[in-house]
Amino acid sequence: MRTYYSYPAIESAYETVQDEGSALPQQTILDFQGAGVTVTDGGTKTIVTIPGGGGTPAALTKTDDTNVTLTLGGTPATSLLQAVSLTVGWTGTLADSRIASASIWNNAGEWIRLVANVLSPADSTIYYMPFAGNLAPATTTAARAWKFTKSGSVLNVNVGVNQVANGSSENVTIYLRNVTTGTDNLCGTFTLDGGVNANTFANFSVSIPINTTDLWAIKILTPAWVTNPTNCYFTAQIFNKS
Amino acid sequence: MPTAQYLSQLKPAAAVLAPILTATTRVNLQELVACNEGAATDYIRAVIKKNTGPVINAYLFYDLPIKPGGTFTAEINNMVPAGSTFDVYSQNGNVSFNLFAFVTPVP
Repeated sequence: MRTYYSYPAIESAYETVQDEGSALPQQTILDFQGAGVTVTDGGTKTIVTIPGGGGTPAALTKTDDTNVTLTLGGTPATSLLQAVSLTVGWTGTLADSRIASASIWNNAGEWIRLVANVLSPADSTIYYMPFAGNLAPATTTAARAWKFTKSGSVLNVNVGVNQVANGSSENVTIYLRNVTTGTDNLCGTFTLDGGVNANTFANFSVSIPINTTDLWAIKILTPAWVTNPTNCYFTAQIFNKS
Repeated sequence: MPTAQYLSQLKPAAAVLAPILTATTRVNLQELVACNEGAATDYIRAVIKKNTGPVINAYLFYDLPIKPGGTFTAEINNMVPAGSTFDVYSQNGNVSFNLFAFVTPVP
């Protein structure tokens, strides 16, 4: 007995199976595997069914840090295929620039306070403030130059003077001088004529880069007074923001 | 001496073994042709039951697959005695059977 089959001609059929555009070696069998995937013979076609959606959605959850919190937008409770949690932590040291609004950090730095013994200043003379109260301002920097302990910027220079006798209204000029490099940084001017108040206080806002290696001094340049003030006690405060 | 070619046709219902031929005389079975008209693979059986001796379902084919639109042909070329039956079957009921034979007078 002889047997044979005959079938309708197939004009075209797939002969190459690709994975994301890359051809796989040709085989005689194409086997789809994995949960949810089904393949059926549709007679004139092979039907591969991959169900879309379905399943139980999982949640995206979070655990806040004391100072850092997360806000999950959208619908985090049903947003994921598998549950995921985020835990916020904190490592390292916060940079100064990240806490610019905090007053304690804004005031981080050092204050240099200088006081001087009594002086009756001469006309058109340069004096340097001492760092010891038993000394009067002098025309040289001996015992009148010092070093900052922190690198930063001097933002404020305050000068106060208590004088027994007011002078005339010519300007006294104050500098923060880099003694090592011989560079004068202008802070401002004020008068020793008493003004509104009996004594003088001047607050100069500046921005002077500071290092810890050079010697610095407060330099006072007196004018050519019509009437000289007498018996002046100078003080100075310098804020170096680190 | 064969006298005539005999043609018997049947499209049995699904999963029913039904006679396509009951021989009243000796029959020279020539050819069985089965065509699957369905859209899915169907499976056929064919069996000859002789008229004497113990009844044995001697299958020629058992659950033989035929793809959609396909035709299966078996050249049998065997003599069966009078009283024999030739039954056919398809699993889905979509297969048409044609049986060709020569009827031979009893000497």
